[in-house]
Amino acid sequence: MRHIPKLSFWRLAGVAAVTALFVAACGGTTTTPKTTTGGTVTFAEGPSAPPSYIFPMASGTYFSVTNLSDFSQLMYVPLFWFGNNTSDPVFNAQLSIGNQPVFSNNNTEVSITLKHWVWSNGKPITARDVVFWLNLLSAATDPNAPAVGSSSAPGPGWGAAVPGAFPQNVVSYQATGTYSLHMTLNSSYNPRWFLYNELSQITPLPQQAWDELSASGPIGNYDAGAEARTTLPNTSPAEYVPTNPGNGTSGALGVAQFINSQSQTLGTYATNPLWQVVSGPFVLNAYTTAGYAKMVPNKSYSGSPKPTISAFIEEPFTSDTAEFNALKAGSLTIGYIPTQDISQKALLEKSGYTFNPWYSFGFTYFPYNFTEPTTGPIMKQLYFRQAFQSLVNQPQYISDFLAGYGVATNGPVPTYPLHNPDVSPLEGGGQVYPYSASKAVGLLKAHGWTVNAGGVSTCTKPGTASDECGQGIANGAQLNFRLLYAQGSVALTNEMTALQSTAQQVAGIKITLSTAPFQQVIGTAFNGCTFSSPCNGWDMANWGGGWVYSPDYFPTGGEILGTGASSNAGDYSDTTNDANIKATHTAANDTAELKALFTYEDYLAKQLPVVYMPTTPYQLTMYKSNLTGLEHQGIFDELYPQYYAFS
Amino acid sequence: MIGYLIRRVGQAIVVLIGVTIITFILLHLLPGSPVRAILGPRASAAAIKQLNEELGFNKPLYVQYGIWVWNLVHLNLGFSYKLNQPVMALIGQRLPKTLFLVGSSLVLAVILAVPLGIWQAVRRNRPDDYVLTGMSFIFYSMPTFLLGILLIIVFNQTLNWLPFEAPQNQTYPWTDLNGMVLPVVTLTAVTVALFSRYMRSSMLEQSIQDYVRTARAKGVSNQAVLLVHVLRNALIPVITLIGLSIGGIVGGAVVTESVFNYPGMGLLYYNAAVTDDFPTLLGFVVVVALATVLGNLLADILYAVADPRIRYV
Repeated sequence: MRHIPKLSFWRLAGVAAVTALFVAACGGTTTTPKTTTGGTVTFAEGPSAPPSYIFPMASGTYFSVTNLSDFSQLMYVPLFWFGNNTSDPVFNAQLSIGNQPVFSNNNTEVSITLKHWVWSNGKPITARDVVFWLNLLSAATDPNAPAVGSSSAPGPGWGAAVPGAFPQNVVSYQATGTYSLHMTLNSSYNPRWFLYNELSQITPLPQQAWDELSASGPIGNYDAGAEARTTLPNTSPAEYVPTNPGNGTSGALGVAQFINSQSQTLGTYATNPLWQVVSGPFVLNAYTTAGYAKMVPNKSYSGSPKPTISAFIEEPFTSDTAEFNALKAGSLTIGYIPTQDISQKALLEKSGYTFNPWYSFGFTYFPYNFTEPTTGPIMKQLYFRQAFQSLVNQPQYISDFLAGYGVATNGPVPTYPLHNPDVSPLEGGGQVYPYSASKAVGLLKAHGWTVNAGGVSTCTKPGTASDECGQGIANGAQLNFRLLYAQGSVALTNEMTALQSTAQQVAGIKITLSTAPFQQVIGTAFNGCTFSSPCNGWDMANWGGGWVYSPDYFPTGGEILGTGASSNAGDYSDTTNDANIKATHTAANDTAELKALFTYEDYLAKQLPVVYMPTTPYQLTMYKSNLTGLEHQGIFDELYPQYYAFS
Repeated sequence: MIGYLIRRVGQAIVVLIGVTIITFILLHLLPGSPVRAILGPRASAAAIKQLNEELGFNKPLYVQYGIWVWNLVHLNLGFSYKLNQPVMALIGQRLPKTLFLVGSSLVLAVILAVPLGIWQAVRRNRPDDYVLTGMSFIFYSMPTFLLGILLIIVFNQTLNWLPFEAPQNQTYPWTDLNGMVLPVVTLTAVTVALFSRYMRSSMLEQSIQDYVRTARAKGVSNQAVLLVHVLRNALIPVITLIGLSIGGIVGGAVVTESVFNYPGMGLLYYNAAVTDDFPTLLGFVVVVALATVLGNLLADILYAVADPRIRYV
């Protein structure tokens, strides 16, 4: 894969001039399709994945693309919007309620100003609405706050919360004017990281309509008590939580619990006055508990562009078969082809649909379980991971099993979109360890293994010298692994079967495959395996996905590959990598930040902390050819129906 | 009879308790944890610990079971974190839809299968019997999803007569019956094929019994022999089938629901199984087990109605 550098303004101008000359010379004219106002866009929800939570502050239970990116964000716009309907993974000032934040005092302070937007009830969106969110968030993520949830009503929370990170890395925050606020941070942070991964979590909420403890109670300032902050003991740098978070019936936590409880009453979504006060381009008009949602334009939407369609409907589907039937019947404006039906793409195109694969800003991988007492020591050896990665034939998987729709994964920073400036020359240059059977065999032989192609290779030269098997590997140890993967995907089954066959036939690496439902694979892989509490039930686990950088849009690995990170499935631990990650969080300027990011990703492209697999599209989208505004799809899986129009 | 019923109800309660205990244990033997399934892969260890405590998953299994039974007695089946609704509400939404789909197809199937079975028995080994037998085998051996898709291709995509799915923006499907035609026909076709075969065999088996010969010897008309004597006894296997189908009526038809975009009980169960939605799974099992036990009890009672020789003591 080719690295595409950033285009400067002048280079861009030159390209534009040449293009204009070419068009003029050919006597051609560019035509923009004439669009009409009105019309209903019907969007297919994922199979058995209806939106089921409307409150934008979603706990881990409800923290999903379906509930946030594709549902509540259409009504509640984050303070800072990321993505721009042209597949660029960048901050979008135009669609944001806030202006670009200003960092000062060695990047330990942040000043934020808001544009003069209004809520759908005509009231202004102010700094108080941002503080309201921060108060609820602080209370809901406070580890010292009283437990609020129960088996019959789970409490509020925030799925993107990381212990010690936002908002616990904020010393104080306060509104300094109607449209301005100020934050003091507990350390100096890379401004881009702090904007992309921390401030990105803020969504202004209508304090003047939502600050209440019950549906019949008056609106007040119940959340305000959470603004005073105190330090968490034994933290360095000091982490902060609210002094008075409240409880289930008072204070900020009480308000959060009340709104959360309203969001748990699905049957009232379209009628509850709470949800009629919105900041986004759409407001909910109808909703059924099965997941049918009809949204109509918010007439008071302050952003631009404003919606021109008359309604945006999200239709639930019990299965991808049912969705595909709807697509063939032509009843959907935007749907998707199930991977197994990709051969019918041409038929749908003939019937008036346009095909457009929808890629996410993420990468696909599966983890090694480094804590496994027997196989962990083998997987800790870099030469073994290099050999194993060399047996993963990503180009073949993409062409044979994914119908050509996939991108080779070279490291932890997404290689799609192709012009992503965060991809280093090394990672953008292609796989560091491409498929090579001879290299895999050579690596094993060079490190004390007797390779038994077709059988099981054994360690015949134990020890820690450079030509020996490595620490913790005994004489006679076998390359024998268990790989659990998610059932239900033909493509994933094919990939795993091919890997199993190649590994054993070429290098004598025996892989015993087993399958389980997706959720059980996730449950197994993320079961808190650590070296102090190792898991011995699995060696590798593949749930058929990986990681999407949202709402932590800056593609560094603090949450997935750092030592002790909450989503570090196999407990990968490397001090150099930890230092590299920290450098991406604290870089002082753009140049230092890019350098730190390149260092981080180059290191992991070579270290192979996980098995890199082809990154597949989020979905294979099919949309009506007379629909405009969907030529590019949200790189963070977000929707832009305010851009849609019929020609 | 009353003593028999009391004994059967007692047995039913024991069966239900056994089913819930086994299901409860099996669910807790699954790898991973319900809390991890609830909170997702991004959850921190602290968040998992906190929710484990909130939900009581850190308590011994027998204590958890006791709490669940206590809630069940108070008609509280728990809360589905995956679907953000109480399990009771979920079942309340899905059960009427499933009862309507599977129930109406069962009624239609009985209405069609009984006369068809009688006709085939009377016309045994004649061309029309062969044709009907052939059709029964075709429909019975055809996977439901294939029949459903074929019907969609013909009646929706080719002729454009009927919708390809059940109504989506209505709470109850009977408000738009057009959308129900294809799913009901799909299920009915398969069920008719099964019931009519049973009916035919049963009719043939009964028609060679001594009491039939006796009735004929006494000069009873052919029609009376068939409809009064043979039919009544031949219905017993069909009653058994209907009784066993009660659990199915409540449990739903996952494939048909999937093909026709019909969110019923079958899909509720399937999705709960693949997403580790334990409260929903347990609630579903209780309801279906209850329906199955009651269905069998009902069938036993109906035997006595159909055949006066059967007496329960």
